[in-house]
Amino acid sequence: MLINWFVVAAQIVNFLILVLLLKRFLYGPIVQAMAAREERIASQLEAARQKKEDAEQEEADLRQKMRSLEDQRQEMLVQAEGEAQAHKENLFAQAREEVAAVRQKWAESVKWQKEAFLANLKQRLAQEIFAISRRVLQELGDLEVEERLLQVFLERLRQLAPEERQALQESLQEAGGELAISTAFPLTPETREKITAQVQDLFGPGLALRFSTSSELLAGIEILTSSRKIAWSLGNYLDTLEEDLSQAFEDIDKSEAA
Amino acid sequence: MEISLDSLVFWRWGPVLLNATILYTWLVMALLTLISWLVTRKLSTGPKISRWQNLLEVLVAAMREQIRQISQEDPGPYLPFIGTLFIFISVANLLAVVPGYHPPTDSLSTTAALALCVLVAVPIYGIAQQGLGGYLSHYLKPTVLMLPFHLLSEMTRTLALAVRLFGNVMSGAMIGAILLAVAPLFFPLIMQLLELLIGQVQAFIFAVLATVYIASATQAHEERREAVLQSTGAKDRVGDQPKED
Repeated sequence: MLINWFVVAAQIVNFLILVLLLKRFLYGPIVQAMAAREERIASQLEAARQKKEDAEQEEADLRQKMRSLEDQRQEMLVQAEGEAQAHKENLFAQAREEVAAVRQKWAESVKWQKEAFLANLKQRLAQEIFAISRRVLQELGDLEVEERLLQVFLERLRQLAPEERQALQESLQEAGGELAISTAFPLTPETREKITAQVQDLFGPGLALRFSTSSELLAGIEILTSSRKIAWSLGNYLDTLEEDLSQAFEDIDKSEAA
Repeated sequence: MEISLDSLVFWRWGPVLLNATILYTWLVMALLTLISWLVTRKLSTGPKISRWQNLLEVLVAAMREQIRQISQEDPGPYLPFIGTLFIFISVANLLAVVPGYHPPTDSLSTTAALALCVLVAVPIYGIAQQGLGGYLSHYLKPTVLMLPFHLLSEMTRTLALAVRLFGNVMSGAMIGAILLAVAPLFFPLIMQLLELLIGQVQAFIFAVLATVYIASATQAHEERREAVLQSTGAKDRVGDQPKED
C-alpha cells in the first residue's frame, strides 16, 4: 500500500499549518512591505508631480505678473511721455508768455526810455537854446540897449490900460507908496531921475523909489509893488517862449500817445 | 531498497504514527518558517532593503505575477495557498542535495495530501467567489447530464496531480538507484542535477495546475457575469430605441 491515510491526513494538517505560518510570517509582511514601498514611491511621485504642478502654476503666475508689470511699465512710460510732452508744451507756452511779457516790458522800457530821452533832449535843447539866447542877448545888451528898452518901457507905462493903472495905484497905496525898480544894468543918475519923474508923473508924488540890478532880466526893467509887477525885459520874453515851447512839446507827446 | 518514506516509522501508537515523511515535512516547515520569521522580523519599506528581504520579495512578486497572468485576477486571495504549494514542494525537492535527507514529496501520501488540498480548495475558492448556488450550478452546465462527467473530471485531475508529482520525484530516486548500479562513477551526479531540475519543474507545474483549476472554478462566474452584462446592455439598447423616436 503506497498511501498511508493517516500520513495523508497528517500531511494535510501539516500543509495547512504551513500555509498559515507562511501567511503569517512571509506573504503578509512581504506583501505589506511591498505595498507600503509602492505607496511611498507613488506618494513621492505624486508629491513631486504636485510640486511640479505648483512650480508650473507659480511660473505661469510669475510670467503673468511679469507681463502685467511690463504692460504697466509700458503704460506708465506712455503716460509719463504724455505728461512730459504736456509739461514741455506747458513750459514752452509759459516761456513764450514770459518772453512775450519780457519783450513787452522791454518794449515799454525802451519806449519809456526813448520818451524820457526825447523829453530830456527836448528839455536840454530848449535849455541850450535859451542859454545861448540869454548869453547872446547878455553879450549884446549894453547901456544903450538898456536906454532904448527903458524908453519903450516908459512908453508902455504911459499907455497902460486905465484899469491896470488903477490896480497898480491900489497896490501902491497898500505898500505904503514903496516901489522897487530893478534893471539889468546899474542906471545913471540922469536916467534914474527921468524914471522918477515919469513915475511920479503917473502915480503921484511922494513915492519912495528903490533901484536895484538883476542879471536875470538880461535887458529890461521891472517895477515891483508888494503884490504887483510890471516888467518889460528880454528875459521875460524868453520865459514866455520857454513856457510856450514846453506847452507845444506836451501837445506833441499827447498826440503821439493817442 | 525502500520505495516509500512512509515505511520508515519511528514511533507508532495505534493508527497514529510518526514516520520519516512527517519528520522531513516538519523539518521543511520549520526551516521555511524560521527563514521567513528571521527575514520579515525587520522589514524595510524604504529604498534600502536587505538581501534576504530582496530575495523573498522577488519570490513573492514572481509568484503573484504568475498567479495574475494565469488567473487574470487579483492574486491576493490565492497567494497563500498556491505560493505555499510551490515553496513547499520546491524546497522539499531542493533539499535533496543534503545527504541523508529524503524529500517528503517522495511519498505518495504527501502528494495525495497536497492533491486533496487542491481538490478541496477549488470548490472553496469557487464558492467564496460566486456563492454556493452559483458554484454548484457550474456542475449542471450545459445540462444536468454533465454532472457525472464534471465529478469524474474533479477526481481524475486530483489523482493526476498526486501521481504526477509522486511519480516524478520518486522516479528521480529510482533512476539514481538504478544508474548507481549500472554506472556508479559519473552518471549519478548528472542524474542528481537532473533530479533537482525536475523537482523545481514539478513544483512549478503543481502550482500552475492548482492555479488553473481554481481559476477555472472562479472564472466561470466571471464569464457568466460578462454574459449577463452583455444581455442587459443589449436590452438597454433595445429599450433605448423607442425613446429616440
